[in-house]
Amino acid sequence: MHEIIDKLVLYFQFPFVRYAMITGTLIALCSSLLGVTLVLKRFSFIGDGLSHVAFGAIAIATAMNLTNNLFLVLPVTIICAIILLCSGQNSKIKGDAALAMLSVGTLAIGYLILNVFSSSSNLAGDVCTTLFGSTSILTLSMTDVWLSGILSALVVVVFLVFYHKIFAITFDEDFMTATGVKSKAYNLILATTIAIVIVVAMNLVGALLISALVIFPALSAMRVFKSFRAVTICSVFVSVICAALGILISILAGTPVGSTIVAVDIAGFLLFSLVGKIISRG
Amino acid sequence: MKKTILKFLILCLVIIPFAVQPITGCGNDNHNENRNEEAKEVFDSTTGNNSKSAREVDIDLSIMSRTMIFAEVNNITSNPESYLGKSIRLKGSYFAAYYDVTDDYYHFVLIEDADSCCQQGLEFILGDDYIFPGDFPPDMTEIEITGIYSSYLESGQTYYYIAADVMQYTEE
Repeated sequence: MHEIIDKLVLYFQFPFVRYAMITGTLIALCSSLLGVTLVLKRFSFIGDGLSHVAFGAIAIATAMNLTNNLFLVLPVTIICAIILLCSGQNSKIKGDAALAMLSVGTLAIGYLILNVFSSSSNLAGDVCTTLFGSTSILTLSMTDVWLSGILSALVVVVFLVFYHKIFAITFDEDFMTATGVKSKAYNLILATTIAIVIVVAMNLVGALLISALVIFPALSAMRVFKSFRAVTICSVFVSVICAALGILISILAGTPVGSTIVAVDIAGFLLFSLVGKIISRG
Repeated sequence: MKKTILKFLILCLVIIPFAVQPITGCGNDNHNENRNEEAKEVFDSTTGNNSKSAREVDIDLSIMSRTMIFAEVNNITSNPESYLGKSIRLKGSYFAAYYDVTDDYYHFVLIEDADSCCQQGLEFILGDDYIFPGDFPPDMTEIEITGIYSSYLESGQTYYYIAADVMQYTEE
């Protein structure tokens, strides 16, 4: 144990480790806030779909040699999030089918574009890193940290300011519309916020594992708590702790960061399931 | 009971940032090299790695996990000028590449990331005592090198390398 602590003290001398911890916990906080809403609205896989869209946008940005791909990735992901979440009941292609189409289509086209136009010497490695996020969180610059921090703060502020409206959209959107509240506008805000979270979270766990970051903390909290507020607070707690633990374990054990965080999330879910069973029997 | 658990969780959310502060070093912005060396000495004495601890280095990658090594090497290659003059110890796979334009061999230490899908390499140059190929191991042999991070100019381009005085490996 003493050796582990000494090693951690040594590792935290490196700025990139501190940046990873700060950014990782902020991303975990944001994703867990919106995860509860997404899970309850049956949109658990939207994280996956939007991350694939972001991957496709990254591929196009790489082919265009953009210095900062965020200028393309963020708007494209926001537009797709709006299309998916605001399409409503009258759309010809319903929610899950639209999500599936967008998800696999953008992933395939993104990889195709990277293969045809990329000048990278290790294309497979770059794709693997983007999809699984093995060390992306540990290679952030100060600018990336500030950007992630600002976007995360924006997400938290939006959630706090529109908490009651998000609550209403989550449980009874039709009633909200019937009472004259502009549910479409709030759906738009929610979609934009989700897109921002997904784009930022890709740095932490990669495109393929983002859904875990969104789903597991919310589901873990739901094993124990029943009220929306309690589930949200617990979800934040679980997500931040699991992300921090995951990063620490990965740098100590030399494992991929994204997969380790998801593994810790799974362990957290199992623990909370056990606690939930004990409480319900008591 | 659930209210109690919720209160406990909220309390932890407030307490944890303060508890973590001593470990993360937040608020302590002094880039104190002595602190880094002290931390390494504590670690070396704990692990009994005394044979290498006698030779102090600024960045000892040989005692770090694969994830950390890959991330730090990425930083070195992304911001090479901020590492010039620093002593580095590094373990990895040896690889030699021939460049026909200069008619010379270049020597590298390769490091893989945790997914084993990406590799990065740092060039190193040994002293005149080492003659290629006799004094060098076969490709992909695990080696450890120690040296100073330096740069040289070739064909109008700046290249960065480790001016290594020591190369250690196990002969098969």
